[in-house]
Amino acid sequence: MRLIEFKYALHRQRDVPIIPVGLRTSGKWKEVWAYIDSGSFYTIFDDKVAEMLEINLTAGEKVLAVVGDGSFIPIYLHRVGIRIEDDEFDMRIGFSPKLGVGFNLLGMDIFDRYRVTFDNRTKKVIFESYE
Amino acid sequence: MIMRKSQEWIPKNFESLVLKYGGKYIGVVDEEVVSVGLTPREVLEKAKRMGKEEEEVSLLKVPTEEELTCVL
Repeated sequence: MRLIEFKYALHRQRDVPIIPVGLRTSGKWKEVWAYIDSGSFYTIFDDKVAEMLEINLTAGEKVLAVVGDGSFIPIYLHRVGIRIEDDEFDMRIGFSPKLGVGFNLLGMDIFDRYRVTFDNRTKKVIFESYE
Repeated sequence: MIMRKSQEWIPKNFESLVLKYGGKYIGVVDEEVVSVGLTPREVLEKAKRMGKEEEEVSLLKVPTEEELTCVL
């Protein structure tokens, strides 16, 4: 089983697990970095990424997600091509105009496809595909 | 698969990117920030005007210091 490894970014000596993800709808692949957030149920990108991918945001299924301050934000789910290194697959991901964090987020749904290890000793996040 | 240079460069330079570009999107090719904007589309358009191919541009939404404090 192939392992895909990414080094942590660091900020003020704290680990920041961000990785590059390829996204595609009908056209070319676009590479966007995302923060691996095991506390997020969904993978969520901001609505500006949907615009870049020429996705009609509100045509997707609307769900509401609770964020840190207890408020709800709307998320529109769309099926998108995803690529992590050379592993390509389709996944339903969310886009939100109210994503009030500084990152795009890779959530728990990516963990259905990979065993994800946060290895703080080597400062790497390791993806191991189940497929 | 050949790893892009940006895949090493962005994590290595993350802290300085936050200081310089926090709150914006940046486009990175190899080991260089080639464009900056408020949206990924704007960043890609600027990069294309500089002769870069869309697919070689790595897009990063750069958090601000305050946003990092909230996430971390």
